[in-house]
Amino acid sequence: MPDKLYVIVESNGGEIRSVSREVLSAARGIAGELGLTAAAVATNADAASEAAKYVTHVVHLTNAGLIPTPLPEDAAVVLAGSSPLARDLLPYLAAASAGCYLGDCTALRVEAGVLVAERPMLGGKAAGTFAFEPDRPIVVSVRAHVFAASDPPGVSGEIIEQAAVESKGIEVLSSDRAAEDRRVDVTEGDIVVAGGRGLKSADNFAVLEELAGTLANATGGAVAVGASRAVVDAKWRPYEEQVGKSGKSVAPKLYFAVGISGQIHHILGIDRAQVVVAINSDPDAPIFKYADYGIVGDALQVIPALTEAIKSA
Amino acid sequence: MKILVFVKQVPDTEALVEALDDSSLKVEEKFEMSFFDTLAVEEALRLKEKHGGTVTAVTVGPERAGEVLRTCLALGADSVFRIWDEALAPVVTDVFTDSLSVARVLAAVAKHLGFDLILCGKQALDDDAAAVGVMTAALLEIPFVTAVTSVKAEEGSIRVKQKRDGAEREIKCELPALLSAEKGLNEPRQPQVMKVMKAARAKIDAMDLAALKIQADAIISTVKPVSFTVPDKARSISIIEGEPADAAAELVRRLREERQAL
Ligand SMILES: Cc1cc2nc3c(=O)[nH]c(=O)nc-3n(C[C@H](O)[C@H](O)[C@H](O)COP(=O)(O)OP(=O)(O)OC[C@H]3O[C@@H](n4cnc5c(N)ncnc54)[C@H](O)[C@@H]3O)c2cc1C
Repeated sequence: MPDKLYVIVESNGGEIRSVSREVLSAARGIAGELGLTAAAVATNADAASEAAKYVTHVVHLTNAGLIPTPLPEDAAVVLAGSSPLARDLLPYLAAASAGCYLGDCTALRVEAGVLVAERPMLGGKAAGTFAFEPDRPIVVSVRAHVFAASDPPGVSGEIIEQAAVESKGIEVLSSDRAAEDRRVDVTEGDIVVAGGRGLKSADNFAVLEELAGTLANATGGAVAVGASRAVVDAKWRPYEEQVGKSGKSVAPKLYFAVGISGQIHHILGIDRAQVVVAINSDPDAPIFKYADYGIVGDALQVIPALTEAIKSA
Repeated sequence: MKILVFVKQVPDTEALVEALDDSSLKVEEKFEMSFFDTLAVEEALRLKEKHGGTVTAVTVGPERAGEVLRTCLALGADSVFRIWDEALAPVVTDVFTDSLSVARVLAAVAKHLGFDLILCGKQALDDDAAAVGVMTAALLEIPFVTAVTSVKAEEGSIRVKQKRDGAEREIKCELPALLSAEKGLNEPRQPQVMKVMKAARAKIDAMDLAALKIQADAIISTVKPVSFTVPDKARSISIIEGEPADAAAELVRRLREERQAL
């Protein structure tokens, strides 16, 4: 009888991913409500030892390669935080075990003893609440900031090492980590400072980087830089930073839209932000309809002033 | 090289969506081929032009979905197949697609047609699920690489690039395999007028589950939307006036005091 809820725990450059910690923090509660035991599958040793502070049973997958990893036989539910790896792994596991898969959920809870999830539909124009076919494994990923991270409950779980099944026919020839790789992913930022064409040039993004650095120092939180599609298309910023319909959907506590006009395609990526601040020189820019606070002005004057105000506050 | 391309018809990105009540959604009837699929079609055509072979486009969907196949023909696909069956109606609706059901159908089509390479988009622009391609590869037990930004065919294998978590990886993948297309892979061509006219007259083949030897009970709804909302994204704005330094200081104060956001 499958009686476990497994959390997939990943790390990125030594540290456990913040979204993995969020899901681990929620796992015991959800497992309890479903009558299951929380456990974890970790993709490296660091992730495994961190996971063992939250749950009693941890499978450390050694040589976790590009994919095939069978679903543990006792898995009733598999939960992961949204990530590129989860997007490859979870549908794979679900298909191989005839399970139910729903990715990138924006809410997950237990109702009348069963899991229900929420997720955007139709390119973000609508949102749906979803039910899963009973008696099948449920494989779900949830986005960053859906659950709050909490400190470990002080468990010291058992770690079992297990070799992942080799992925056949795939060989990674090279992997170049770009200079920016240690940055906070835009989906994982507690604060996101995003810039658009109103910044006028790639070089001017330096003022946003400085604001981001200052905010990180002042709040101690994760601060990411984001971009509109127009500036990604202009190659001012990498596609990884694009926020919106054809980029990433973010849910930070605070989102700055700087020199971004606020077309619906961009708004679709920020509607789960708690607070939106818009800075734009055009008082009629649509972004002001979708923001909580606004300053009408030249970004190149307002942003340095904001950086100073945060430093001196 | 025998290439299959999986394409999906999705509501146009400008199509209006309305919630009739909390359990039904209405989508304006304007459709297009999902953006990432157009990149997959283009890459398939380029591979064929360079190395020879055939390009076959496949979609799962009702009659209207045949339009995306017509587009594939106009672009230069050799043949196209639309799969539809009454048994699919509950799992492939105007508003939601059950990924596993579609993957089972596509895996059966791929086996039926035979292939060296399958190309599809990284995700569909309506549900953004990014699941059907991976699931199909899992069911076919073939290697796959998602979100590729460059594809180079070699003897019996394929070399691709993938950007992920800030790293660019180069991956060698043995054939047969499945790849999904990421933005930046290529710039899709425009169809030639003559081909558009010919495609407009083409008869689009339709296949049902029996033709693919799929049992109707293989099609189950694994995940089902039970209620909908069309959220209002507007917020109520407070404009902060003043010279940059004053406005900035006031913004910081209000973010801190009113929202505990700093
Ligand atoms: C299918 C589809 C998908 C899309 N997906 C996305 C997506 O994922 N993400 C996305 O962002 N877009 C997306 N778009 C594009 C979107 O429609 C807009 O074109 C894009 O967001 C515009 O980017 P922008 O706001 O930077 O540029 P613009 O629209 O050019 O706006 C620039 C803004 O800067 C302001 N400005 C100018 N000078 C200054 C100054 N000195 N100081 C302050 N402000 C100034 C202007 O008033 C203006 O509001 C998509 C479009 C389509 C069709």
